[in-house]
Amino acid sequence: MPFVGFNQTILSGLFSDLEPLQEHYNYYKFEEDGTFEYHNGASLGDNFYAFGTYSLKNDSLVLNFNETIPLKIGFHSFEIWKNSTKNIEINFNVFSLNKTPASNVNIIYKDSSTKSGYNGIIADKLGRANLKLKKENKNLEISISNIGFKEYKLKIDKNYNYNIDVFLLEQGLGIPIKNQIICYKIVEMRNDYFIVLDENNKKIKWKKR
Amino acid sequence: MVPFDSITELNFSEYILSLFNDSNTFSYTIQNSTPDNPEANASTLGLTTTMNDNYLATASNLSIARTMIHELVHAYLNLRYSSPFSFDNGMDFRLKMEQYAQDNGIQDIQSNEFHHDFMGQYINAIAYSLYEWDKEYGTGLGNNDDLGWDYYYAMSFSGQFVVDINGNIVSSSDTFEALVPNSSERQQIVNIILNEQNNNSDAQGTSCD
Repeated sequence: MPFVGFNQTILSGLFSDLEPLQEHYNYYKFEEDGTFEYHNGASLGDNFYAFGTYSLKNDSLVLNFNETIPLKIGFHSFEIWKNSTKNIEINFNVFSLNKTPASNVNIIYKDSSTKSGYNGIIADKLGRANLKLKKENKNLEISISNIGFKEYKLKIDKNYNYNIDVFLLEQGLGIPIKNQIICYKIVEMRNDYFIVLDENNKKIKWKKR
Repeated sequence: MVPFDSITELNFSEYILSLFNDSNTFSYTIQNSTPDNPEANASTLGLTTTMNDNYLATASNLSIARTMIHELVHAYLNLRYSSPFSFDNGMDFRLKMEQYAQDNGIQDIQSNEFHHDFMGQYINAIAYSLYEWDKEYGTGLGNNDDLGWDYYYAMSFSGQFVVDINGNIVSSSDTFEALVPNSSERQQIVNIILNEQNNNSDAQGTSCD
C-alpha cells in the first residue's frame, strides 16, 4: 500500500475504529467535497450522529460539526377549560411527528388505587383516547408510549379539562451533535487507514471499509 | 449438556415468537437488506428487525441465529415497555425496567445502553434458545450433536461489548463485567463471537452453503 503522506487533503469513504458487523458501530463517512457524516450507535439505531465539514492540514484532521440540523423532538399542544363538575375530562389525539395518527398508544398515569400504582388506557387506531379523572388540586404526570416511538411525558393540572394533541418522535434517531470542533493529531495516514491521537493522547486507528 | 433441571420455560425466543403469533394486534417482522448504516449486523426499530446483507453473507449460521434471537429480544423489550396494557400485569414488567434503569443510572429505557444491559438478565435464556436451535437446525442436524453449553453461553453475550478493529474489547456493559469478572475470560467470549461472526477457521457453527 503506497504511503500517502500528510500532504493529503481529501478523505473518501467510510472509516471506523470498530470491528465491522458487531452490534455496535462508530464511523465517519467522508466525501471528497470536504463534508462528512458521523454515526455512533447499535441495534436500536444511532446514539449520536452529526454532519459537518473536515479539513486535513499539516498533521491535523479537523472535524467541524457545523452542518447538523437540530432534531425536532416530540411535543404537545393543550386546549384547556374549566367547569364546576367533580371530574375532569382529558381528550387525547396522538400522532407521529409527520401527523400520521398513532395506533396502539398506551396512556399511563399514576393511580394509587391500583395494584401497580399506575393506570391508563389504550388509544384507538386513530390515536384517540378519553380519560375521566377526579378533579383534584394537584398535578398529574402522563406518559404516552407507542411501539417504535420515543416515550413522551407531560403534566396537567387536575383542576382543568384538556384537549391534548401529542406528536411522537420515532425511536432510533439518536441525538445530533452540532457546533463542535474536534482536532485530531494525525500519526499515520495511508489509503486504507489513518491513525490519530485522541484528547487523551491515545492512538486510534480508523480503518477504511 | 445444559446445566438446568427445569429448562422448558427458558426457550425464550420460542416464547416471544408465540407471543407475536398469538397476538391480533402486534406482528414481528424480520427482513434483510443492505441498510443505510452498513456497519451493524442488524437493527430493530419497533417490531421490525433488519438483518444486514453483508453480515448474512459472512457469518456462520450459528452467529446469524444468535443475532436473530438478540434482535427478537430487542423487539420484545420495545413491546413490553411501550405497550404495558396489552399484557396482564404489564405495568409490573415496565416498572421493573424503570427500577433497573434507576438502579443502574441509565436515563433512557429505550436506548441501546439500557436494552443491552437489561438483556444480561436473559443470557441463560438466550443461550438455551440458541442451543435448541443448533441441535435442531445447525450442528445437531441429523445427529443430535451440540457444541457444549459453554459455547452457546458465550455466544449469548453479543451486544454486551464493543470491540476495536483488532478484535479487542474497548468497552463492556456492566452486566458483562458482573457476570464475567475476569477480563481475559471476557476476551475469550468475544473471540468466540467474532470467530462465528466472521465465520473463520475457528468457527464451530455450520455455514450457509
